[in-house]
Amino acid sequence: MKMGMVIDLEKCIGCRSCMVACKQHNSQPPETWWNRVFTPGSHRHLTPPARGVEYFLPVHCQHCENAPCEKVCPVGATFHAADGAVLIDFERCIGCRYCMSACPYGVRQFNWEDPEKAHQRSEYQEKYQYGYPEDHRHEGRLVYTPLRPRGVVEKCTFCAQYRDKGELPACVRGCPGKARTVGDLDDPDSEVSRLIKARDGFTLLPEKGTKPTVFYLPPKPKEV
Amino acid sequence: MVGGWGNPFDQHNMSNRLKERATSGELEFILTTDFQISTSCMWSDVVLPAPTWYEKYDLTATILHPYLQLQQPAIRPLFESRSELWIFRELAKRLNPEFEKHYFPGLDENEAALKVIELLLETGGFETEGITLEMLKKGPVRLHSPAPGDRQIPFYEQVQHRIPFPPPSYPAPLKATAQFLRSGRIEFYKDEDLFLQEGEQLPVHKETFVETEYKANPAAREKYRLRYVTKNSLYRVHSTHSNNTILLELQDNRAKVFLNPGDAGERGITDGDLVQIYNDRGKTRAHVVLDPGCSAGTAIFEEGWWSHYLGGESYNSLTYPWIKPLHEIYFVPGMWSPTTVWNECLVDVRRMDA
Amino acid sequence: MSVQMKSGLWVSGALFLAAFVVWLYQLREGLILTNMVNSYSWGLYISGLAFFVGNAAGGLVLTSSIYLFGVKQIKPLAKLGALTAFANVTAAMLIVLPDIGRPLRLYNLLLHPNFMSPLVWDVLVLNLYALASAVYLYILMLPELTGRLSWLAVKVDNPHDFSEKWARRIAPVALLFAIGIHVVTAWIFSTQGARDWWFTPVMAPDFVSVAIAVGTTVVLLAGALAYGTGKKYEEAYRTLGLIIFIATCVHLFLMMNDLVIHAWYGKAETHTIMAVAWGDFALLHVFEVAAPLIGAGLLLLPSVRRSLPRLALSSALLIAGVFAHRFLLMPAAYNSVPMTITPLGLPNTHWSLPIASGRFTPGMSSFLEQYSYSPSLVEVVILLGIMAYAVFLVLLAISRLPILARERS
Repeated sequence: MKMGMVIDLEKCIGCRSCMVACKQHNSQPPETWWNRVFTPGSHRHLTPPARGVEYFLPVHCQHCENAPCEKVCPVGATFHAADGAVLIDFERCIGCRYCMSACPYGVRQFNWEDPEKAHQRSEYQEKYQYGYPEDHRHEGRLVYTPLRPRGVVEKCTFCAQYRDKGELPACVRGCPGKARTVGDLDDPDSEVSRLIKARDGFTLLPEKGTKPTVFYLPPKPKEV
Repeated sequence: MVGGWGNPFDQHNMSNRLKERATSGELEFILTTDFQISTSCMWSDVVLPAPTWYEKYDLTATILHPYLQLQQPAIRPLFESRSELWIFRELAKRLNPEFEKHYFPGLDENEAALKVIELLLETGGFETEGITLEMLKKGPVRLHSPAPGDRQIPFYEQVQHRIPFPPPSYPAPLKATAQFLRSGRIEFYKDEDLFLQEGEQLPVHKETFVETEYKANPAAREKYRLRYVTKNSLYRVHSTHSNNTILLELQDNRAKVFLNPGDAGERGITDGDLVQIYNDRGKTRAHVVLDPGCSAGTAIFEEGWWSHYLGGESYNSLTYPWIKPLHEIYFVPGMWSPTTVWNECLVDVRRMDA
Repeated sequence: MSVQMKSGLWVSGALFLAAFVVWLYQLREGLILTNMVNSYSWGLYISGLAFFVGNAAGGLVLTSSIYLFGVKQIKPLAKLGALTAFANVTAAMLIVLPDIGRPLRLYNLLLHPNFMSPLVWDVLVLNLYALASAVYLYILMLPELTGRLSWLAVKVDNPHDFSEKWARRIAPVALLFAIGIHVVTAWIFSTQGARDWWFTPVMAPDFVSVAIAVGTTVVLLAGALAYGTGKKYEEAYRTLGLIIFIATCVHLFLMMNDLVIHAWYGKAETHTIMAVAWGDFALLHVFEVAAPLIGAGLLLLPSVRRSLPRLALSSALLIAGVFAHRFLLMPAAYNSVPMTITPLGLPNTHWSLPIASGRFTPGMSSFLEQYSYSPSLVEVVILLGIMAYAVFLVLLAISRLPILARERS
């Protein structure tokens, strides 16, 4: 069982619903975004590049099989779950941020201060809370908590708190274009495997050797 | 001025005139109901807190699809908010005790709302024939249409059953629109004096701004060389959610104006510059995005920004509801303003630090 | 104790204390008090790690040269060398502490060390080096731990012979660690394929050569300040000056080698990195090359070595240049975000994916492709405080232990 995600760039309309669903469900503080959607080639999202192809690219943790972040963590706070997701143990992370230097995709985010202080700084209403309201442990390790302690790193967990209950991650459910699919990459008949094969799925930065488990289906060429 | 479910002090054209009239006292009293402190609330004498869509019953229809939907409360109204039905019932009975009987007195706001919905379904004509509240509670229900199978086929009755044009065009009543089509047929030629005088008896192209901006101010041709077009923003529904902090982060907390790179270059403007967008009627401000897809001679602004984010200057201070001579005879008032010609507007931009 | 020593201890002690207090404040508020953001996640503190590690080398390189290679003329500086080594390596470990988000959890390093992580290797090797330099210093001091200090002395028959014998035995081990701390510290950076500026085999040998240059300079400076520039130490200083100059040249050669091959090949990613390194930071880069070269060159001149002010200034110039070199580890690695792709339909262009900043700054976008970092006041105070710690420790040791005793008399 090797969990993977397929994102169909033909269906992605760049609406950023997945960004907002991710941020809200995972209670990310202001200025922290685990999931990013941009328009490649353009200096501003949804402004098309002057030449080239207009398409949109959602990027978050690639849950790499050969994850450099896992290798560099001095205390083993970043680890692989049984199904292949890369998770962070919030009780063990010492906040050295080596993993942030190691990640070629730049997906990791740091809690530079208490999230509650961050809320105040961005003038959120006092005591405003959002996101999945309970702690979640995976094999005993705390991989989700609504208010992370200051000084730890965080990133996409493929919504461990939902998947461990058999539900889909927030970004998958929140995508109006149904561009995202999650499944077993080890099973050649799973939808993800079939999509990757049929549509020439590719990964980001393959030359870095990280072996991501997030695959992208290229957008179809448009008729002018 | 009593308002609800809307934000005229940002979204109405000539919104700065509204503000002037409020300041001068010409608008003696302004009441607004809303669930966010919008610009209109800030300009009101009294604000009554209304709940959001998920805190009350309502009936939803739209021109975009043929389904009727029941909006149901997921939670009770928060804090001190009450449904608009309750608010207006309470206001009505204080204006005149006789009015209360129209609002299902004696029932709480949710029950009263359901009674209103039943009433609407009963009196909705053939489109709501046979649709009940119970059906709506199970899910969206397709409205009836004259075509078989309730399909959306334009002009079905007119073509199949020789019923005179025009078909109903909501929200105007049929009588109001039918008076313009005396022949009862689709007309390509209007044999009427005013149409002949204006040269519009047949469909005709007329250059933009000649009968509006340039007529009102010939100097506009040189002074205001950009068409001001307001598009919808991904991050709002008109002006709702303009203050949503998460969505604001996605916009870098800045209003933007999209310019053709050539036009920007001519004015010494680069991407990211803070510019003033101005004409004789008003001004506003935004940060520039150079957009190769933006036609030359155009400045695109995203409608719906609250003035708070624009230095207090509404983007609608620039617009104007032009009225053309044909409106003397051919006119049904628009929902938002007499004429909805927001995009018939000329502006220019300049860097604010220049 | 002399007036200079006393005031030196007070000033450095006070600065160290101030830094400690500022660190407590940072502990409470979080690393938001620094100027780092998500895309620029290591800054002054980690530059400090590289800096202090480099300074620490000199001590044991020196000390082991005496006993391994028989470079007798620098023997008078042996103890000072071991002391500065210990002070700097402990400073290196101390400067990392404020960079840790949750330092109270550092026990996890003992309970759950991940032996794949170069940081764990560095912790191990830095601690071993600290131990080695402390033990070395002790052995070198043993013959003089008499009278008031005799309670510290381990009881042996012939302290002098014992000291010589064990110094010679530890020398190779010490040298190994001295090289090791730089190789491992370099590996923290150079193993990271995500950062092209770091990902080069040349970094480890370069760190070693810089360390030999700057570490030796630190000992030379300390020695000159302690003993003066009289005839007695002429030979010693001459030898040190030579070591420094050769090491500096090797360092510059290794650096140039790297730059030449990347500049020649001209990959697009290289251009972005070079633009940062030689565009925004051009002046600092010129300084990091010129300052050590000029400093080392000056130290070759007998006239400079004979004058304390000139020697001190030349040493300071080299050390400052090396500090700039350490700082410059960061901008070209972090200024631009690591992920660039070639967008569809635009075959020869590169586009960077912005990263959410992680901290609210009015007027700044939430998503950054570029970020220019300069340290905050909190970071500067803490770094200065750790430098003050090293000075304080050296001064305290000199005032209480027989570091200089025999050589002075």
